Amino acid sequence: MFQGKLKAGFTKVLVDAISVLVDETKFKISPDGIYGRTFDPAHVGMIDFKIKKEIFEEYECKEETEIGVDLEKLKDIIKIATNEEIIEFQHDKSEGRLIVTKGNITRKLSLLDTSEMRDTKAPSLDLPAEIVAPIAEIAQAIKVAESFSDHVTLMADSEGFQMIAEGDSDVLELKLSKDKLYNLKCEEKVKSMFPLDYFSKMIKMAGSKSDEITINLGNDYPIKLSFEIAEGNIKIIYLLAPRIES
Amino acid sequence: MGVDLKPIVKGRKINLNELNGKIIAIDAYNTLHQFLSIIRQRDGTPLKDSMGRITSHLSGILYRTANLVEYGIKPVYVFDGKPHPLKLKTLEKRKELKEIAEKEWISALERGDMEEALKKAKRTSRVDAEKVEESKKLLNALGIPYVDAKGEGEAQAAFMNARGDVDAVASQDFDSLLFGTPVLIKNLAITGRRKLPDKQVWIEVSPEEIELARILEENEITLEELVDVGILIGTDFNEGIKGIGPKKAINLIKKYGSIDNLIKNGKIEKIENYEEVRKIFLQPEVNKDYEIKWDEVDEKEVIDFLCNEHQFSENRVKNAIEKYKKFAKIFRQRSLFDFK
Repeated sequence: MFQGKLKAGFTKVLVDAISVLVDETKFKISPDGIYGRTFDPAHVGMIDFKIKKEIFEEYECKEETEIGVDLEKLKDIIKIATNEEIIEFQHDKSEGRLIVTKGNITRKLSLLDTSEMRDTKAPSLDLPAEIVAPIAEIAQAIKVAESFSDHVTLMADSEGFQMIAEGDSDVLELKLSKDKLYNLKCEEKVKSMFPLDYFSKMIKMAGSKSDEITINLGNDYPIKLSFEIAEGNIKIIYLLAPRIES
Repeated sequence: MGVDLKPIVKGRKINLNELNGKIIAIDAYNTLHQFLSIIRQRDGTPLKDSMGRITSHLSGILYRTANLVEYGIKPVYVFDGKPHPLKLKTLEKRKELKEIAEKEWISALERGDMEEALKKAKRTSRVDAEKVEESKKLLNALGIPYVDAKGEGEAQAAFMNARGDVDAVASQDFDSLLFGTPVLIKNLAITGRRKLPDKQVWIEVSPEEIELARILEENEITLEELVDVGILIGTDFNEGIKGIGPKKAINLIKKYGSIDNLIKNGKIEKIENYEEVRKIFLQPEVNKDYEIKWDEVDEKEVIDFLCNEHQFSENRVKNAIEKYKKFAKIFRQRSLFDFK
């Protein structure tokens, strides 16, 4: 049995963050909150999400349960609400539905079979560099890069963080020296390349909700992007696999 | 060609989209044979360059592989090595059939019977050493890898699939299943509209996925038993028993367990070399030292080879090259599962 009330704004964050990679996902509802992990079909990207019960207006869950949700259906009802409006959720186990209520409108949405949604372990990564950066300029730089490139190279050394996007003849560079970063842990130079479409969606998502992002980077290795909102009550982690130059 | 398991093997129709990102070993001999047989003019003449050299196989490799990489499929061709001595009889028979078909093609042409001419012409195609060399040269220029088998290409591909180096094997022959291919895909390179023989009817050919584990489960047999079923029906390495088709063969094996028991119980006469044939399928010699790596297309090399040497249309070739260029994005992309 699960029942909860959450501000529409927070629900949107979660749904939008997951939609970057997939159209449907499995939510694990526990007495402490809701969490989950999903890979996109090509296994290039992964999201780990967690929303603590403390941020709910009301939260009731006695034992852990799983529900499979078509995110488009959930978006339909959330998007008609303003951020501050309260959305009410209720899991109707016997009917296999999630009952979502906004004001006097009730949407009963049929749930997906979770037996086909396997739990997959996250890769255990050893990422030597950690950069905590303001996100606004990274998001802006990506916007420019998108017009001529499909990949982006990220680099870090003890002096700072750098992003380079190359097209056939054009180049875009963003340099953030150490003093512009909130934090930098990087002893040796690291460099990895990523598909711009995925990276862009992840950064834009993070940038629309948060001012800073934590980047963990290695050499020709996946990247870890993490951010939190609402005083850490919602935590999102993305992993993205690299593109290898040759 | 190959063993006839059709009545007991049910595949699942799939969409090429489902194979996005998958590495697929393509049985090269089988596929080149298809190209040489299908890619022909209406009177049955294969594609030729100005010197009269056949180019149907090159056209097939260029355009059909381009179609696959466009769907994000990562192909690797697997070429046959030395044929097993037991296969020589089959090869000899095929050669004879081709010579007959050639004569029939010519007489059909003389009669002006184009329908018959095309049908016969399709049976005359030969994959010789020269065509194999030309195909490898083109694959190199396209940046598409290939692996040389020690013996049968299908055995090699099955090994690569079982080892997890490729996600599936593309072949038209059910022999692949006897070699233990976990996932077989039929009609991969020839997807599209195809004409039925003897009829003015076109059908849509779409790829089909056949999972060995499911086939074994559905028929309640083991791989060893499936191989015995194949031997009873007849493979490229033995003739099989007259009057025993797939359904009868599977019932016999299910009832008696093996060819040995069938012989012991007097149900069949001895089958020549059946123990050796079993070994060909179950313990084939394979090449364990291979590399599967895609590379950027060498545009100049491809144009030089196809357009300058073999008079392909430069415009069409360039269009195909664009697809290989885009493919670089896909094969350079790693999956998160590569980092576990």
